Amino acid sequence: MLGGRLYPVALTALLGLALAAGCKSTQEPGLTHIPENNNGDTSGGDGGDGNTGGGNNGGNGGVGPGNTGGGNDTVVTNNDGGNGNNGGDDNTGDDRNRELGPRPGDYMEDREILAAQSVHFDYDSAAVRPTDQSKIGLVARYLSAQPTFHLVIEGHCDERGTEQYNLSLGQRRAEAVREALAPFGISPERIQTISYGENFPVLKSTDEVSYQENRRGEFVIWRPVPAAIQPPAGQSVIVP
Amino acid sequence: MKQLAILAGCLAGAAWLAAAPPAAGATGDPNRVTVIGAVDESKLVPLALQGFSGEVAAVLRFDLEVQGFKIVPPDNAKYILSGKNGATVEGALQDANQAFLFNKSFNGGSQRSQAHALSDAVVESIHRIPGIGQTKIIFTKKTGARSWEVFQSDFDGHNAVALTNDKVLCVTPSWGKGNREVFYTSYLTFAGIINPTVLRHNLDTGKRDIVARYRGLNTGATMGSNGWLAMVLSKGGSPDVYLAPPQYDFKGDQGGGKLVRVTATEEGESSPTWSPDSQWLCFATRTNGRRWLVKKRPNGGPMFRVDTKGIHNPSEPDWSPDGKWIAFTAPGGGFNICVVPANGGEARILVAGENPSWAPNSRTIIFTLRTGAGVNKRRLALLDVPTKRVKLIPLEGGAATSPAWAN
Repeated sequence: MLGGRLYPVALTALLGLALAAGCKSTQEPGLTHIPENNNGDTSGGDGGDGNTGGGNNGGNGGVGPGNTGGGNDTVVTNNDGGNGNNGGDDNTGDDRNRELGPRPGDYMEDREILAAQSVHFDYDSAAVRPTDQSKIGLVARYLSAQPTFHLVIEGHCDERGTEQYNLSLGQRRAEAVREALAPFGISPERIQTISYGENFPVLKSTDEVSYQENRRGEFVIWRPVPAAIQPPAGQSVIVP
Repeated sequence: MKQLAILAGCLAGAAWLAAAPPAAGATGDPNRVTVIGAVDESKLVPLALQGFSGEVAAVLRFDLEVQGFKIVPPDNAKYILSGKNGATVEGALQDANQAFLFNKSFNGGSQRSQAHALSDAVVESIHRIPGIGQTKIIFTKKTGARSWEVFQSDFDGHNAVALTNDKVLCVTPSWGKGNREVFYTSYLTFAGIINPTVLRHNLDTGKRDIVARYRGLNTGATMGSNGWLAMVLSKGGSPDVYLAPPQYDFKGDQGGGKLVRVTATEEGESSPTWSPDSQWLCFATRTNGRRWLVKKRPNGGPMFRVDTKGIHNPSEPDWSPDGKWIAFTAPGGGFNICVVPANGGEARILVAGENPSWAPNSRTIIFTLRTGAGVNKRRLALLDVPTKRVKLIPLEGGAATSPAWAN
């Protein structure tokens, strides 16, 4: 999720482009297959969050108490077991996401494709700079061209605010970027905002250059996991 | 040594009196006082420790120094605490007239906890307020490049245990009802969606429930004595303060209809804190580019500014358990811990630090100290407000922050 973990970006980029260009209108979100790497990513890199994948099969309840210490994934346990994908409108696959808006089916993170479009903020400000409008426009065009893609806007701060204040400030920054995207007609349902406060700086020095780099909004694309590629229909070859 | 001789007469046959008193001001002692602000020496109560050694002596020194005492040789002492640490910890407290204030022995628990109990007896006997020796804290600790966990420990950082194993960003832990539950925000992933999630964590059963996982920010959960939970949520746009009723059922409340929205400002709120009687909520807000502390009735009405005279841009308020004070953080060449009367007025800058949380004695504050650049260089420290004495909390590995003191 937050870097450090490698996704098959190149492959998915290719497939994503193919899907989007070739059959975007026929590709039903939510009918995509669950690829192997969707579960595999819980063991990669820095360990990430131990709960990724908890909702893939719907059977995410029933982990007992006693999550102090130990090596178990701590899974929130108020499900009474088996709350599963019982259809209905809950197409996020997990009713713990109910309030977050739809993100149907299985998605993969792509931190690279819009990495160059990160916007930056003045000290203690959540106003999108006029000079960053071109980046916003580019992101909007990209989202328009990829109607199945979802966007996460991350709000980040430098370390010159207090920790809790920065959580709020980062959220306001992410919201400001979302609002800047609104005139382009991108459905707000496709955009999630998240604040990380000052906890994930790009640069770690205590100078204005670093602070400036850290006061930012990042665009992270979540693209549908492509359906598994089926081999073409078998062809019978008659050998003379 | 006259006092010692008289003490020996009183407790004839007490062989432990022969033990050498611990050396005062020994260098290299990990429990040495680290002063950051100017300590008000005149307010320190001189006290001598006699007969204790090793861990017990270290605990007594640490506990007493952070509660307004200064450990001195017996000749300069206003009080003498004599005792021993054999199978059990024993201690007798005398005043300057050699009168005995108590003579106690402590059983059960570890030597460490017996020593804490003895320091509590000293504080209660002299200051007439409960000691903090046996209190607990929670905090977050960085355990990996991108992972944090919630830890619980004794107030001095010992006996730290992890409460979580989420390996994600984790912020704003706080204590709930009866100190048997805690609240915190973890950036949990469910079905591939990362979102900050407020959790209620029962410390007896280990069971966790989602309290809030709405779009955007879900943080700053703080329970009042009335059982209501204040939180900062941005489900309505910008970060605002919301209240959840006791035993709030997130899953059964689609759309958050049972939540009470306390603020609806265009900019952001952060760090709600309750008055001990739950009649007021105080939080940091931002209006027209300026930051303020404000208070508001939880059931409505206007926001009142809590004046922090002469100190700009306050944040992170924490209301003292006796209701009299609000500690907060203000910028100023880094960050400073400040204290203001709960009704507002003259604010005092105490020490460099942020994220203050009051001890149940309404006298000591635990806070985060930056020891360098970045979130890797944070550690916890204790401040005795009347004397401005500061002690760093020794914690192994990992940057620690967001301390919350059990009340």
